[in-house]
Amino acid sequence: MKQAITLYQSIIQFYPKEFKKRFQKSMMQTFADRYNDEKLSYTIGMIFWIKTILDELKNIIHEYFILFLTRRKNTMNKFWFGIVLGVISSIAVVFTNVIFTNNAPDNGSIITIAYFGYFILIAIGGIIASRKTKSLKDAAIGGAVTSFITAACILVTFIVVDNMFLNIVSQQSDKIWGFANQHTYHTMRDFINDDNMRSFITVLPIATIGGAFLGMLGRGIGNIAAISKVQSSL
Amino acid sequence: MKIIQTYKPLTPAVFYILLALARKEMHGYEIMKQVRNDSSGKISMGNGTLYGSLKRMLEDQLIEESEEKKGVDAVPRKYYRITKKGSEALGAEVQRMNDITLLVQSSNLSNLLSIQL
Repeated sequence: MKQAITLYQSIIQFYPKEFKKRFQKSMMQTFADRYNDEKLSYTIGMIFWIKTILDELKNIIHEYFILFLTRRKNTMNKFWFGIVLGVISSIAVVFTNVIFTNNAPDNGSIITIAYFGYFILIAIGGIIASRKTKSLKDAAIGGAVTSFITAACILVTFIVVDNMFLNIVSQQSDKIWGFANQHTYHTMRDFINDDNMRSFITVLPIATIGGAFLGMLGRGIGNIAAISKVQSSL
Repeated sequence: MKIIQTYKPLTPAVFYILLALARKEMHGYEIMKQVRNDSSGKISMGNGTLYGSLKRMLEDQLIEESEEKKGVDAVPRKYYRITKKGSEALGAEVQRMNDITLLVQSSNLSNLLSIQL
């Protein structure tokens, strides 16, 4: 009996951690009950063990498959908001730089409002990614992923727009001023591309780290709001 | 009719587990034995199939865990019981089966399908 239980216990060790944590004790007891019953009717033998192993093997594979699907779904949950935000931001970049061009220097207050709105959206990305688990870790990952994808979309759009519509973007006063006050590049295209490359290298890591922080902040505020709501309803 | 539309058809394992738990709350091995009896030995599920099904049924809120109880052998076992949603899903499945049986009978298909109704 003890050997059979040990053998069965070693088989169920292959289940995913969560499944094992939840059902191991009950499964062991059910196996012991069944083993005792079958022993009385002399049906314990090679066929019993083959059936047991095949049944467990089938369910172990099934549980890992479900785990894989759940993880993939959770990963997509972290991606989709960033992708949507990135696409909208890219469209905004095209509109403000190519279609509705304004060559005047950037308006400080509009830029501040845009950054503030961006920070709020990244925090929302963190809240969405952690809405089931409520964990700060998931919120940090969600915020970081959202911010990284959004920043990458914006930067790639700038590279494309600046090269495809150079005749339009080169009329922007900040670009003219920047080009006039440097001595490294002889053409506006080289100057703009270098600027974009520098942005890529510096902005992406900062955006990712900042996104993680904002995601956690969003989830933290969400959790505090939820606790306050429960307390006020008591 | 509305209930039938709400609940999808059940797998044989889920159907027989719900049927077993509709009588009373049971622990794992009790469910296993009841399923074998109810299906006249056609469904003999192993531990893996049983607990895989129980996990999904708990997630779908068709059943719920009851507290641990000690049996005559004084060993504590976890019990499971059917929920309201589980009862409705089982009822919908039985209704669906009944509808099909009536359809086969009214269409005189029993002979063609080589079954006795």
